[in-house]
Amino acid sequence: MLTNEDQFIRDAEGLNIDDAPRAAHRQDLKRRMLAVHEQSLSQTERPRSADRPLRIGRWTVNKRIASIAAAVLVAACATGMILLLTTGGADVAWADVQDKIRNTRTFVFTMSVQMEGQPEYVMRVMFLGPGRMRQETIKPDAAKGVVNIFDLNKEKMICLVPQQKLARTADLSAFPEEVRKKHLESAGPLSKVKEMIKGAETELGEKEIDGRKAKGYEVEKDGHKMTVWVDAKTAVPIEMTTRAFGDFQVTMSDFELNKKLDESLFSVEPPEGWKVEEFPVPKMGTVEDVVGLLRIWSKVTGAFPKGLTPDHLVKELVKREKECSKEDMKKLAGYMQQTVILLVLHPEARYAGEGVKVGDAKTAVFWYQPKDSETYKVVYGDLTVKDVAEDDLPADPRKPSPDDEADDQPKD
Amino acid sequence: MSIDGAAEGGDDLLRRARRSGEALGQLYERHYDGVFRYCIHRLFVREVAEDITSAVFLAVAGSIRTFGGRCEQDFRNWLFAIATNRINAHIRSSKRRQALLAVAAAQRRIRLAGEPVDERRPDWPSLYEAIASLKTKEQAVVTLRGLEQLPYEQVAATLGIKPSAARVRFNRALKKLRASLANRFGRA
Repeated sequence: MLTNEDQFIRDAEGLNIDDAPRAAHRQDLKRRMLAVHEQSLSQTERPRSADRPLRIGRWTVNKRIASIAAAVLVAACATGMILLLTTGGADVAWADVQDKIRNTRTFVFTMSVQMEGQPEYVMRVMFLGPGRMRQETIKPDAAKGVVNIFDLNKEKMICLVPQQKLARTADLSAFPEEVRKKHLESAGPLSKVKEMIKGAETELGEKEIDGRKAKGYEVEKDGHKMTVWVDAKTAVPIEMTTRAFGDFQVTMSDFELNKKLDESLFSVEPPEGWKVEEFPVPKMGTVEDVVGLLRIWSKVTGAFPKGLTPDHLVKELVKREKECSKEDMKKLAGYMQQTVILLVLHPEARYAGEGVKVGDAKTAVFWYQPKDSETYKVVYGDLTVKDVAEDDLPADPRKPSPDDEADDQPKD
Repeated sequence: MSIDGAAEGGDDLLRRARRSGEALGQLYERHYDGVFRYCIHRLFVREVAEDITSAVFLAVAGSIRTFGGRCEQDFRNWLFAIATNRINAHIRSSKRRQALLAVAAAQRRIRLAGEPVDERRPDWPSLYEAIASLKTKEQAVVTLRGLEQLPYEQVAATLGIKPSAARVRFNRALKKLRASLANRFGRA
């Protein structure tokens, strides 16, 4: 053996190696793999409002531009939670829980949204079906008392800031179709939810919560899991938690079903005597916005940013505020806002600029597929833009690939 | 042992697999065996090989939508490249490496006790121990070429080197293996 290559291969074939795959592992892995694939597709093809808007919301709140994004975020989380909640099975007890939701006209709960390193958002959320929602902010302190009201029948939203007697209004029908669609999907769940009751759940047994005997269920939909604890006697929800949306820890509690809610709570008309501002209708982000952002950023810092998320950009920008002229800062803020909108509306967009040399004409730093376009817009390190077919795109920088994983690739 | 030859329609299958679970499932069926065998040949222990195989296909499922390969051969190279790196990462830990070698040594001892030994042809546990004594990059090339029987072009594509370099590396590793087994058996 081993006298030469051919001999080695021949002899290796004669080795008695127990290397036959197990059918059980093959089947189990296939099931898991397809679930991951499906989840991956659904995350990129469905609205990702629960994925990114927290950052957007925080940024916009910090920049005092608008709290609409934060409101949409919370609505998105609420929607997701409720969709999960109402995806149950045929068990009698679970059916009772579903019935409670299905038959409720109003639905009130407290929702906490937490992400590591971010301030906790706590809101009292009220749904008055169909299509009306009110969110009263409890935390963070800076936003305490701020109220967001959506009325999808009127396609209007209002944000009330009591401390300033300020009402910010938004005509959702005037928003670009994609943005509007996302807002509507995020904020109008209750009637839709009632039609979506199917699926399966796992029982988690019983425990005591605040002196009440509670029964637990694990509900799963589209790969997202949620734990639901309900009153063992009345089937009214007590607590629901999930980490389904990326890094979010979302908890809903203090539920009230069929609570009498005054119609005036859902008015989208500004209170008399308050200052009224209109949310600007957002423009759609374009590749020019991304190029503009990268141009100014690289001019100021000498390099491309590590990422395009608002959190990262804002943090870095604050550090380098003195190095950036007021004019550039203003332009940059505009480009950033438009880029964020582009990222939200284009989940297929990818950024790979970290470490790329500014001026490198061969390396792609950003790409996305404009609406109704067969090809992708690709931005290179010299900030030129080219149209590229999907098959010719660079490897996804956020996913494992031979290059990504080649931390110890042998090099000759 | 080899996984040669893309089946007819494989390139179209890859294109569809980016968005279709059914197509990805078909690709999986075509390549699962090859990846698993490569993993078990590198890792010896079935359970560990299954874990790494799982990690490979789960990574693929999460990123195939944006995988830039054009044909099934690219996909296969991608699978083996991911597997290689996952395997290397696993055995980079000396504790885990020692655990695999301990299992191989135990099996070798059991075989020696139960079967007559042909000193000219070492058994699998002995060969595995010898391969495991090589550098990680040599282990990869020996397994891909010698056990999986991939052509040098594919070995090279998997490891990100030139085919000529893969050939040189394989022959160099073979020489070391001969020496290692000669020490063990007196001749190889």
